[in-house]
Amino acid sequence: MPRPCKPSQATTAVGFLHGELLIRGLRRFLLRETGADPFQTEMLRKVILSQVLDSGKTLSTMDVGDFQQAICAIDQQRFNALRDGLIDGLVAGTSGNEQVLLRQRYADWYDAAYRRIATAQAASARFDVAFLQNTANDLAVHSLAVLVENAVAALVGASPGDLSYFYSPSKLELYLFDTVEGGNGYAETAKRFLHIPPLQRLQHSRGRKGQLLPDVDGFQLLEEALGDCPAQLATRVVFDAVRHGIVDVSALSFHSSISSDLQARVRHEFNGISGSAAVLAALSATWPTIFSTWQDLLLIQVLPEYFTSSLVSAKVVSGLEELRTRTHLCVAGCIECVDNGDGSVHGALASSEHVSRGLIDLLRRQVINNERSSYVDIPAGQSIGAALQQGVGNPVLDVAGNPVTVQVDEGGTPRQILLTKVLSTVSSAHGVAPSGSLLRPLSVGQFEVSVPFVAAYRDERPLK
Amino acid sequence: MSAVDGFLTPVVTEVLLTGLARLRAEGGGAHLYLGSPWLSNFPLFPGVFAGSFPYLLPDTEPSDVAAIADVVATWRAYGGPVTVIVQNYERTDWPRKDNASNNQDELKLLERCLDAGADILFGKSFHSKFIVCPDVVISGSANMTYSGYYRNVEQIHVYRSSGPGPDYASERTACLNHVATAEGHGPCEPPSRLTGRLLSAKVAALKRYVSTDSA
Repeated sequence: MPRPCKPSQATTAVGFLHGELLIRGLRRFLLRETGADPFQTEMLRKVILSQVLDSGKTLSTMDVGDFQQAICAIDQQRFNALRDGLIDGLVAGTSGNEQVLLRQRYADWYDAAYRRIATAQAASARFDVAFLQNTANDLAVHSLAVLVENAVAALVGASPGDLSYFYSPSKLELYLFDTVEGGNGYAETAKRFLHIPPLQRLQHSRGRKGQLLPDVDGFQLLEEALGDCPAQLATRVVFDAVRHGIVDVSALSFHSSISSDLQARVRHEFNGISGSAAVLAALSATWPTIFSTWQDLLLIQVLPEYFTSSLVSAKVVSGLEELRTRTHLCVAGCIECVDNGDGSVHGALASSEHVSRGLIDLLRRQVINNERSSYVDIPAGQSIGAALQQGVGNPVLDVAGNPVTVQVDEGGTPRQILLTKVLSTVSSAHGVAPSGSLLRPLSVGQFEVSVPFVAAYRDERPLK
Repeated sequence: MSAVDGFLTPVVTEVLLTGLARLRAEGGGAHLYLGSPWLSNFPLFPGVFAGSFPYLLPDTEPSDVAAIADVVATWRAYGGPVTVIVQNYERTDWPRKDNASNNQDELKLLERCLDAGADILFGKSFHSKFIVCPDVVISGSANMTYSGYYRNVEQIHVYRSSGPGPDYASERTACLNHVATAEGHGPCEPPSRLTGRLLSAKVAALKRYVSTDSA
């Protein structure tokens, strides 16, 4: 039996997704409980997160109690120490009078936020599992809303801004609407073509009416939107390669199923000037416990200051800005997948705080496990075409395992038709199997990159 | 083996596109065999390519796989041999192909396939229908025409190499026996001999024969 997989799992079981939720939740907690503005909230989160890391916790092992303890452990002296460590990272690479002025400015900003710590300490008991569950619901529903909006926009050909959305995490609902006053027909068109069963498409084709239907329906586009993020896949491959000690991309070869797009992304990351590989290698070597998996790279995105001074001293980067630029990777979601940037109802600056690629992958895993007959797993290194060929023409089965026949009307004549599964989408499946290596050793120092895939079939039985 | 009675075109489309994807990724010159007494440039099922194959065939445009003639040309472009076998135009042979307009259209399609590098064969009393590519055979009652795949009530069977027993091997052999038999007729020499392999040099003569047929 497939194990049920819900957002609640991410809130109760420690792991990288749990850590991500804690980081996102901490921001909401500080905003809600301390009255801090978003700028101060960001500083306070960095201070508290530094305290958690200093206590020896990592993204995969941190828990609610660690954050409660960290919040309560921060007195003025500890705050100053954490503040100074972060400021060291902020000013790393600067010198002389510029550094003195920057230090003072940053210290003033941090000190102005310190008084909020006492409020956070008084409320720390409310940063609990229930709070985390609400955070998870909000992230999951909002992330899905973003992907549904993307899929529907592609279906109807809407330009950015033509459609918008709102959502209710408590009701687990999301809504799409035309942004033009009076409507522009997009929402209606989306409703019409959201679901085109293969049988309906077939009947249109038989009647020479194929041109009345779009080539894909909303379900197919949503399935594609839920699929892996190519940027995140590249992040994982590069981190994998770095952990295997690879410093030159020529040590990597790519299985024939790997797209040229992914190859180009990986090659770019090994560029000595603009790529991330050298930075990731330094992170992994200097903090092997903190950066043991690719998901841990979220820390370099939310707390780069914590790591900057060491990297600058080691001449890996020249300063914080270079570190940020070179680690502009997709870890928990990016503008290519689930982060909708300035289209976010939460605003462009906070858009990444309200989406989670990891929760979408969790949802995808749940759908695949619950609808096993609709999916074919293609292990890494196997021929996609051969696997798909073996899935051609399989019948739709009922719960007893018998082929399903339906009756259709053909110009007034009833006809019995055997339902057949129809291929819908093929996507890499790294997101549904986020652990393990995508590199296979070929010889000493040489590795092949290969990723698993999953094929989705329209396996649609008539609704009772 | 699976039976299909309604979803003929989606299944045929999947077989052709997955075969193409394999050919592109694996190379090896996979051979495609198309057999049907009547052949027309039927369109592939919309939606299958749009959903998956831009990813699997990233350098292939929808127009490259829009209809069967496009698939043949693309298959050849990827380096795979293609053999097409149809019933000949002999007026006394059965099944008799006596619709002159359809014959002319079919010959244009065959010429297009020939130009793309496909091997064109005319069978004698040929009435079988099949698609054979590595690891999959489709055979059944449907002609490779718009009516056969979209309008008529037909049935096809899908044989996979991973299936149990000798089903796939025996069906593949039976289909390729038709090909071998047609090859055994030698070159097509219209108007004296209308069976066998069509060579480019004989297309004009065959066109004359078919147009005479219509007159």
